[in-house]
Amino acid sequence: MAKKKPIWGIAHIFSSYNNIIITITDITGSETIARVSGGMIVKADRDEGNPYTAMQAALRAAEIAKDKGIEGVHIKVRAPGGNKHTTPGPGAQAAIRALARAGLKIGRIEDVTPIPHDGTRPPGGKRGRRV
Amino acid sequence: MESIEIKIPEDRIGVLIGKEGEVKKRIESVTGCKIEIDSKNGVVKIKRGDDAIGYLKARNVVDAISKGFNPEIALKLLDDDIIFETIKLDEYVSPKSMERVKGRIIGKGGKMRKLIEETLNVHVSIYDKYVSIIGGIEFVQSAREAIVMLIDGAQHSTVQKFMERKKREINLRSLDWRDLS
Repeated sequence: MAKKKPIWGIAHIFSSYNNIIITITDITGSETIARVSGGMIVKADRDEGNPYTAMQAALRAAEIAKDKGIEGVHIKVRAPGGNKHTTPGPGAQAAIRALARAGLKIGRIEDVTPIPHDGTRPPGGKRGRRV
Repeated sequence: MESIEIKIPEDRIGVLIGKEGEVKKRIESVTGCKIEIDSKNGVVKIKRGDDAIGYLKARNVVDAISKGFNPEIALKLLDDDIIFETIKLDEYVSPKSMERVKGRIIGKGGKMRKLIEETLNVHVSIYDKYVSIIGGIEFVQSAREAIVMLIDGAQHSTVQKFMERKKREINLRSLDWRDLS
């Protein structure tokens, strides 16, 4: 058999303040190989978004992906976007770090947060949120 | 390899380079990135080296410096657990009341900013229309909430109480997160 090229996948990391979802797909992005979210790791809702959870989730996803033969991943990070905040949550960096530490090669990193070209009005109304 | 261009204000270029290129060299050596600065128009180009995480960190540090932090504080971002967060004021207030809101966040003689920094153990910088925070993850989140409260017009004493409550909660929680996972 000829020398095999390393198999690359894509790690889609969605990171908000309240949750993190890591989906590893093949290079086309249409075949899911591993999917892990914050709620699969911790029991308390408030912990789903924090970096320790992100780390555990990334490790678990990496394990599954490596079992299935993925050797490296490109990364697409994403924040909630739209009219919500556009910077990825605290878990994103932790997750990337954990993926690297789990032995996956890291390829390109891209930010795919959806940015509105002027979309809907953010919640709160003209006078802001009143408490 | 990939690269990114960030535009920074003119008066921050000197800070990013540092005395005899000290700051720039430090970032480059730690993150393995190559930084090119065009001092005419303030465009900073960051070229990625082998280290994927270093690339993200370099981006953060340059961004932090461009938002008014001094290099010593911005270089803390090279640490793994320190994050950087920006609030864009123009998303919350009209240009007319920008000055007033900035004043509220800073407080009399910097009193409020100092209070936020000391209670939540973060660094706060108010530059142009950006309020930026550097610190530990949970603290930055709380500081962000506190600042948004101030922008929305909460009284300083309310915010102070809020921050003290948050601080207590975080300290309490830091005792038990390890055995959850």
